[in-house]
Amino acid sequence: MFQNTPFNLPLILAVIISAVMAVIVWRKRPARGAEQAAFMLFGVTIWALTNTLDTVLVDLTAKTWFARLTYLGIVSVPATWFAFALAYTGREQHVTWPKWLPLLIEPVLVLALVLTSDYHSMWYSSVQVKPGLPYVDLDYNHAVMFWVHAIYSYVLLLGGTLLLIQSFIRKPGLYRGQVAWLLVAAFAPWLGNLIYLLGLAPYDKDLTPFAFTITSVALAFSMARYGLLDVVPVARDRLVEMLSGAVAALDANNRLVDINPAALALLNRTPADVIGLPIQEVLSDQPVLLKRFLDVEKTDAEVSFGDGDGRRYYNLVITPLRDRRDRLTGRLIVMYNITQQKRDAERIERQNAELRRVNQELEVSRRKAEEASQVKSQFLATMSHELRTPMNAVIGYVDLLMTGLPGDLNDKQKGYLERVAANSTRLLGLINDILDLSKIEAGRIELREEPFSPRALVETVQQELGGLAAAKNLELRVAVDAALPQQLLGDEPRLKQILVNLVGNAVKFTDQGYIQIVLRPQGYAGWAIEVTDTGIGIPPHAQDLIFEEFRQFNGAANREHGGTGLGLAIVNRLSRLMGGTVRLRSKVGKGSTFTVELPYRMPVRSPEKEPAA
Amino acid sequence: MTPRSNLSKLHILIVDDEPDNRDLVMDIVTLFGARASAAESGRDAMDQLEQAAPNLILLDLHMPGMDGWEVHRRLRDRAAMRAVPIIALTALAMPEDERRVKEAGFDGYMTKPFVIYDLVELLEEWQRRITGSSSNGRRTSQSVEEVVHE
Repeated sequence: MFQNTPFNLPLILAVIISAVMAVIVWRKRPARGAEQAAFMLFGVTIWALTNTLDTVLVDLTAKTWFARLTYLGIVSVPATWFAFALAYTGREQHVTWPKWLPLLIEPVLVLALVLTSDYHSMWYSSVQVKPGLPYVDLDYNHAVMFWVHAIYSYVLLLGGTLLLIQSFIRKPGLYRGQVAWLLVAAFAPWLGNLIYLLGLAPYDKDLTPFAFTITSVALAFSMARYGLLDVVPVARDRLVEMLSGAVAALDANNRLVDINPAALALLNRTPADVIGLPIQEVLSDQPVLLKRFLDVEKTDAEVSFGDGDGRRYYNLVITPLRDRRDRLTGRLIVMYNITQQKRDAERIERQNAELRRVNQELEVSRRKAEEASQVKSQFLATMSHELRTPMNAVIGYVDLLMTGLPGDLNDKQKGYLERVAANSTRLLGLINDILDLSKIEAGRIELREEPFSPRALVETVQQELGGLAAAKNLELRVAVDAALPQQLLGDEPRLKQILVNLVGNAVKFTDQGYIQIVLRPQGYAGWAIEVTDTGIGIPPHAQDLIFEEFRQFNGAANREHGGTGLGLAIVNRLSRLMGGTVRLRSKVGKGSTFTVELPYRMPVRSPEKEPAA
Repeated sequence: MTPRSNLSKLHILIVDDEPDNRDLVMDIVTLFGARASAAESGRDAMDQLEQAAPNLILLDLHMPGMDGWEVHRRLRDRAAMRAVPIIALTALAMPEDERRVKEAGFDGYMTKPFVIYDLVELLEEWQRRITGSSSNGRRTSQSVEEVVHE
């Protein structure tokens, strides 16, 4: 049933190779042209398989039928080859089923003619057994339609091959290896078929199935070596095309071999204008750029085009492309438009410079203000000293005379001296208060934060002002809440000043009863100094005014008692400086309560009780 | 204090550049029986120190040339003078001034204008301390506050 021929083994190999290739390529369908190539290889497989059966079978009827079935493969190959060439060279848009249907007409007609050839002589003119062979083979003489079909097939094969050749020319260098193997794949069937048609084939055997096996092998080699039909290069091609950055590839001779749409837009050219041209020609209007980068293998630089507002900045990156033996095969050039970043950076830099300048100005005026404040402060300190010095002599000598030690004075003289003394004291108070207030206004008071004992503070005040109260038959009471910490942080002299002012004020406006100082916690984070008197009280309309400078609702009382009208203003300012407030509750005829509320400032480590001195 | 208060155990060196104030203090303390010497500047005070040998110094702070701060510093560096109490009697009366005096380690602080009784009372207290204990019985731990207000 089977016979041995020289073609058995090669044919079986051809079947296996083309079948395996068909499956491998089919799996790579996402890649450009892979689907069409797979169809073509399936056709080749059928061709080789039917041809194998035709060859190995002895029975003549079976042989002729398999010879006819061979056309199932034969007719599918030219069309799928052409489709592959279109898809692979980037013309997928033409490889759609509606456009493709007309190409199926010819294969269907051919199949019909071949299968019905017993009833007409349009395909085979005659068939006879080849003489002088050690095995049975049939010699087919073809009729007119076969030649029509042959021409049709050659047109398609030629078309696909031309597409690949065009691609080969347009991609010199970088992709040359890949396309070269495709051309080997393309030319093999030509060669095999030509040899057969010219009657040069050994034993007059149609070599085309073997030739297509060579095609398969060439495809396999191209896939293995150049990543043909790999998805990754295709995806990268897409990426490069979609990139907003300009990408161009030069070969070793500085010819432009690839360029993406962004780069073309930058050059304002079309691919046909520039592909294959030396870069010197493409960039003939950029001599400076050429001179700087023509021989640069690798760089990452900033370049600019144009002037003034139209100036454009680019980040230029050149990367060398090397083959496996590390020879330079070309350069990849990428340019990104960084004009916006540049502008932004310049704007930020300008703003920064402006900010620095403003800061400097502020610093200068701050320093000037600081100096002015210091001058003012120095002036106030000097004023205070210079006013007190002569006052000391005045008050001192008056005081001395009044002691009677330098000699006796009569009552009238004593009376006059008392007036001098009272007014001197009042003048001194005024001087002190004005200077103090000025100092607060000038912002020259720096509050200290030192530990002090609230109880000791209040007892000191009681001692100092107890005499003043006693002189008016007033009791000066002191109470310190047990819940108040023994030590607080604060500016003791200034707190004392507040207390002295408040108590002095209370004594001034109280004729009978008592003055009471209470220190107690206030809220959860503060404490309060409370000074209560049983004096004349303050009418509601005056309650807000009395904290302002020189506001005295009772001028007469002040004249009588020598007040300056500044004491409460000082209390108010100082309390605020310390982060606190002053509140007043008062009823005319009943008395007043001034409450200074201050935040707690406590020593971090509660100090141990100091040993008695 | 009474007009009969007696400060006779004190020998006071009064340092003040203002003649009126210097004389005033001089008159007051001598009226109360103290011995007193006067110096019209810091330099003058340093010169007189050996000869006058005071047991208390009333020191003005704000003076041209060597000021009271400087005098105080120098005296505290002299071993022989370390026991002599130095009281600042000054027209520097801002709360900040009081603090500075305290920090500098003066033995007392009284502001001008002062009340005669207060000055005499302060001096009486110091006389008690000086004579009540040995000649160098100054209590070094005494704070300004205590001395001023006791």
